[in-house]
Amino acid sequence: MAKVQLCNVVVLDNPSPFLNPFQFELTFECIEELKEDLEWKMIYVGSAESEEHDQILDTIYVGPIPEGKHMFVFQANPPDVLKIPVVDALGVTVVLLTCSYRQQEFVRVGYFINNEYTDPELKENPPTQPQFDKVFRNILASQPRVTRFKINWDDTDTLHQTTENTAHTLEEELVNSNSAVGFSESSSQSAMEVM
Amino acid sequence: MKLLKPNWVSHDDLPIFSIDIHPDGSRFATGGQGEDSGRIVIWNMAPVVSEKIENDENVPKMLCQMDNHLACVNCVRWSFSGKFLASGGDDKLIMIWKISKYASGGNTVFGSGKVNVETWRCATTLRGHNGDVLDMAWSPHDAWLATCSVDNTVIVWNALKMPEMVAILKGHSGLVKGVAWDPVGKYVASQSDDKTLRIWRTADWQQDAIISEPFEECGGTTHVLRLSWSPDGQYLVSAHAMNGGGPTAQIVEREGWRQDKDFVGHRKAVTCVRFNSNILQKSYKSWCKPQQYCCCAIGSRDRSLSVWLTALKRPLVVIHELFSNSVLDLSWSGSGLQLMACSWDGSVAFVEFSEEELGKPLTLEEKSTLHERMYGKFLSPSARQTCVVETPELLEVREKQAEIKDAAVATNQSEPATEQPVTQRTPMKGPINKQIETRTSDGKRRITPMFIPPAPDSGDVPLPFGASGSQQPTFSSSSETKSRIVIEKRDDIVTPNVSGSSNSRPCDATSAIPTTPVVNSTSSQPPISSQTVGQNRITSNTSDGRLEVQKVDRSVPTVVATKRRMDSAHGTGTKLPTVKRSRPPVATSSDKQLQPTSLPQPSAKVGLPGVGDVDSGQGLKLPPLKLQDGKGFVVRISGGIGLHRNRCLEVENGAYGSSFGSLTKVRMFSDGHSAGDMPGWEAVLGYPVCGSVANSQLVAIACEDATLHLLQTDTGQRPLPPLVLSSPASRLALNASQQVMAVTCRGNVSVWDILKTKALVRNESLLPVMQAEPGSTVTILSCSLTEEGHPIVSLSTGKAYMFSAELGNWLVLANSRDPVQRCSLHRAFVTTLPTSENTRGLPLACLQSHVISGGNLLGQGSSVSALCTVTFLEQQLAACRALNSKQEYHSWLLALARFLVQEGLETRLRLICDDLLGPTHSRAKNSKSWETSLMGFSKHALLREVLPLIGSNLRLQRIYTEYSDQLAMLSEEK
Repeated sequence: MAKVQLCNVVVLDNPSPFLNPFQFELTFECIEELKEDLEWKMIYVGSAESEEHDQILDTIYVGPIPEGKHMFVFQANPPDVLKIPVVDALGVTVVLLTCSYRQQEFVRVGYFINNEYTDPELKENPPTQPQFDKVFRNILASQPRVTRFKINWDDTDTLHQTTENTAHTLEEELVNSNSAVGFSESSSQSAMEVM
Repeated sequence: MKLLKPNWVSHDDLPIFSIDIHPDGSRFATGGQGEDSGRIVIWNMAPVVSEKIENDENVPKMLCQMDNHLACVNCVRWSFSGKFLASGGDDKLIMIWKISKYASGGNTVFGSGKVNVETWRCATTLRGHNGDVLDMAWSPHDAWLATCSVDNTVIVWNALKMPEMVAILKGHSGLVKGVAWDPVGKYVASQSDDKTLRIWRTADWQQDAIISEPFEECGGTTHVLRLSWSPDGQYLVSAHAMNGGGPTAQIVEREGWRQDKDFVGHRKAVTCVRFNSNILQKSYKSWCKPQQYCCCAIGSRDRSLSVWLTALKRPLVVIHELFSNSVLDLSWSGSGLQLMACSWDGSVAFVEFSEEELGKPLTLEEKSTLHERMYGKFLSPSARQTCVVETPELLEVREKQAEIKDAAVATNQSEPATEQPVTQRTPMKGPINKQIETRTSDGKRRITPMFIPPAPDSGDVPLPFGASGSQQPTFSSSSETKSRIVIEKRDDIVTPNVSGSSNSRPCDATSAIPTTPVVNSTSSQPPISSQTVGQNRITSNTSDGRLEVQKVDRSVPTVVATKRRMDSAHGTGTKLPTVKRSRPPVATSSDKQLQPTSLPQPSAKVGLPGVGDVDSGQGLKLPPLKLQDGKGFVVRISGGIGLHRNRCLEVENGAYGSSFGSLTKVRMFSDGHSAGDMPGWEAVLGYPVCGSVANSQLVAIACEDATLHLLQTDTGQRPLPPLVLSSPASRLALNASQQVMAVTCRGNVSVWDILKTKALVRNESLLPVMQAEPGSTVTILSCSLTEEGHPIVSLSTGKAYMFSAELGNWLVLANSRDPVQRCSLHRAFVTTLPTSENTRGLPLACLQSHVISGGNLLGQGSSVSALCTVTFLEQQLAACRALNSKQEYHSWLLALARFLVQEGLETRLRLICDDLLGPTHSRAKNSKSWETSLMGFSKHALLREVLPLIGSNLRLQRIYTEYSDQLAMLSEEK
């Protein structure tokens, strides 16, 4: 039985300038007091092509967690622009929220992000070197992709399931869908169904 | 008959293993496979029953989805009360669910796009099985829950005290796939892949019978073997059995467990049988008498469903090809006219019958009368053991008792008490208005999340819902730049509570978080609230619980107080919300000065905010005695002797003027005097009188100069010079033994014995008992003096106190707000004392009539309220002893005995009996430690009154016999 259920995620300050911090308000419910802290990670996928451009924006511990419903804001600074490949600076990418208990990841939420200039002139003729202070970030908040993994919640140290293969399907999908640049909510809807 | 397959009831096309209709017919639950977990879904029943509602988009269809089981859910069952839903699955767990209403209302199943209209939370998890749980059943009255598993056992759980196990029924040598209770609670039956059906006694949890013959040819081809017991208790119908090479459902008769009938016709193994819980009745034209029968639905692997009436030899209806795979579970509605079935193919079917087709259900009373006729007195769970009267005398006693049986007790006895099977919840919860951020030694943040307290589970039984389902919670996107959650950052370095952490000191992390805010780095933050911005609101302050009124200006955003320096590199060019240094967002407050919130306030200075004005430092200020018109008054005195039976005392302030000041006239008349009569006696006082009390012996007059004058009622003589009070009198009281009590304006109580010229209580402060809640005031409702000279005050707080000079302390005699009293069920056990006009004999009742107000009787006989009742009754006994109120002591003692007898609390009862009986050995008479009387009653006489009460509970008959024999022996010796 999963002791922690993610109930809701609210994306705050969205859309916002690229250099604003990410803010997510997370609500989760715990059906039994946890003996250890949860570890939340926020990961910015810098490039769909390879994991090496993933940036862990922040890792936090959340605890102590008694039985009941809890809420907190997870805020992290924007990605280091120097580590983002120039070709991937604009367009669609992904931010991931992951949660682990005893170093076992049990839930992963992915959001598509669209980064673009708002200035029509820049839109038309994007500068070769991205001007991040003019880029706006739009998180497709209504379409979270939630993947849940079975983990061992008990104290006994058995059964350690890693499900990395499924975890990265979002990125694979991203690679496939990246060709379609149009990022209006209506057009993207059909391509995105709940996993 | 109406048949329907609602296509919206699905687990995304995954198998549905179990279905159960809520007893009130408003909802039904399904259990089965989820995408990567087990899944339970609670559905609205109304859209299934009515097409109109089905098409109404405002009516929610799915109410709640719970994906908490790690693996497939094989069984869901509602308790008879409807309060709980039990679920069991392949993860070996049983979970007990109850509805809860979070303040946040609805809820999404995050990421799935589904909306949970209701919130069901897991109240208890039952761990005990070593394998998949396949079937479950609640016993009649919800006393037990039986679960069966592939671990070859059946476990019986105490449903009143989860997660307590009552018994593990071991005996099957194969997977146990079905379990069913006898409707009168005497047996539980289980069916297994070991080709047997076993019947277990609930009296001792031993196997009563093993039936194997009809199952010899069976193979383990079904997922479940859900058997069922008929509502009249006469027949047990098994799942998969074989007869002559064909699959059947075997009928096992209660009488000798005979197996000579079966339901034949299904072409593949029978997976589930479910009796309609109603006994039905129909009068056919050819029969003169209406016939009673039961109705049973059978589902099979052949994908068909049959419905049988025990009055007919052929099935009422057979529905072939209902599903594309095996039927897995069936459920009848409480009304008995609706039937639902679910299948491996992931769909459910709904069948509705008319009363003409099925028959008219017997009412609950008729059903229980029928049970009583067939099985004797209906066995309630509290008296479940079959008891035989062992001695003839007891029978006699019982007959007598039955005649005088208190109606109140009878009504109170029922209630199978399903309150709180919840285990004690963790007391430590997180902060409820903020999240706290600290840093670990490696620089990572550690967040203590904000706890969202659940609303108190009101009523607990899920209510039918109205249009409330239309409130669709929004989720995910928000243009708000800041969360409403306040973030409190602390400089403490903590260790994350993670096992893999390098510098982990296990479980130490919590201690690193100070429980009170650290003054330097924090400040009070506005608690989250979006709607109330711009209004005055009351905020309880965490540091000392005092209240203050804050006005939050709309223009001031709720701001995150942060100590962390904003990274300027990232800050440039972005529109970061302005970070203000923390300060309480208080603009105005009323005339009271505002306390700096973070400074702890010395409590002494706060004193008693409720009690009057705080008078230069600490102390009480009570209103002084005052004449209504300031001129004079008349006190009537009754209870004198002979001629002076009724007298009256007349006091007139300022009756005579003199050059040195006005004088007060005090005169005593016989009652009914006329204007010209001579007074019995006459006196003058030099100061205005502010109050007086009098009885047939003594007159006490308080003057405005804070003196107390005492006069003999008969003669007007002064036994003592005036007594000086420490401050003007606020209250006076007298008793028959010439003792006077005075309460001063400063809240000091004194009592003097005038005959003995002795102080009984000296200037004792009321301060300890007049503590007020902030914002309220405490006033004295009444003051009195017992015959023993103990002062008693009852207060507006609903409490009454007596001062014991011997103990030098105040004693609580009554507390109407005591939760113990409120939870207590004593009312039904107290025989009302004769309420004569003279309540002097009942001081406690008199006192408590003042203060007992609005105590509500909780109708639940839970174990907690039983404990409360015993505690309250013992408190009453102690109060009676303190007051020396014999009659009431007697009455409360019997009430306690009655309660203990009904609850069968043997040990406590023995304590009482032992004391009443005293030593029984031959030298008993010489014993010094044991008094023969108690509060003026002979203990043996009391025991003679208590014993017949004990005799009324058969389970305690041995105690009855034991003590009555000993009592008889003792009386003979005399």
